[in-house]
Amino acid sequence: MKKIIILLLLILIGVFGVVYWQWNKPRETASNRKSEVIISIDSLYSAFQSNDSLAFATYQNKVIQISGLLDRVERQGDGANQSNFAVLLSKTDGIEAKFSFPDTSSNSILSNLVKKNVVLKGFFAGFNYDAMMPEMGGTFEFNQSAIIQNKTHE
Amino acid sequence: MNKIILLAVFALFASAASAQKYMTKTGKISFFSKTKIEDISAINTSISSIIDASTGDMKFVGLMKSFKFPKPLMEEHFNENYVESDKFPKTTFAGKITNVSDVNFSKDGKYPVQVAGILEIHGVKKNVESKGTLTVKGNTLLADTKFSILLSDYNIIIPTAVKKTINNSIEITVDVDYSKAP
Repeated sequence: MKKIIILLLLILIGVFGVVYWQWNKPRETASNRKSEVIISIDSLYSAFQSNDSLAFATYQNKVIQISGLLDRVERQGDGANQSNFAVLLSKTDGIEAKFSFPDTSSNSILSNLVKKNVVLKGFFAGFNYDAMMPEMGGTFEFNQSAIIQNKTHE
Repeated sequence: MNKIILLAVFALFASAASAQKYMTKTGKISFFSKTKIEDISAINTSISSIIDASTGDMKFVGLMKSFKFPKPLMEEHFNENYVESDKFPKTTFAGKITNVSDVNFSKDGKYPVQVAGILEIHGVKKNVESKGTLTVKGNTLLADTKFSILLSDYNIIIPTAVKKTINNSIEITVDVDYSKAP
């Protein structure tokens, strides 16, 4: 009887541990993942222009690596809700790629890279564009991004 | 010569019309729902939006995967089980400030506004109406409003196991800073 109780307790602790870990598990970041697609913003834009649903199906959730001129770094929100973004511009007017970073640790590195060529990667979230407002251009959005300092590391 | 004058007049009108527009790519939309287990909240700070001051037309577009939750597991469930972001990647709103004539865009101040339009979430389009505030400050506008929607209206199904703990109604907060279009 004692053994059964101990076994049940161990199972209970195990289940609680798994649930607790699942609930608090950290977000997966692109820094631990190999780039699945290496592409320019303009090529990505061409793919969405020719067939946006096919392009979205092809690239969604993939870790995409893009190199380009870092136009600006944006910080939005505050406290726990603060988000940090790096924005690369394409050759096409109004089309940009926006990488969100998992924490503030990359802030100082990114700030020093503004107006320089950078290589970034992140999980593709989609193309924020609406044909009803073409004057807004479009933004390719990437989550949990990472800076790749040197292309040869990939 | 006449053609040149016509072109110049057209260009003048076109530029005046574009000056009536306010835009942003960093609008904030958040939502909140009180549940018995843990409150659910998320924020998207990459909303693109445009307001045409002359007509009152207002449009929003944002990606579902850009809503950030405090817990990664909540974000995973939201995208995979509730809003199916892989199938329906965007949320859009297209509507009008119905009392735009009450807003003086050239005078700083806080103006109560009413907005009506079509909100699309999870591939479902529904009419929504809301009261809000438009704050004019120089060449910038701040739009804010709060309204509630029902998940069931957008065919978002709450799994039976958590039906009693997750509220069908969620409160949406819109907080968008616009700049006058160049």
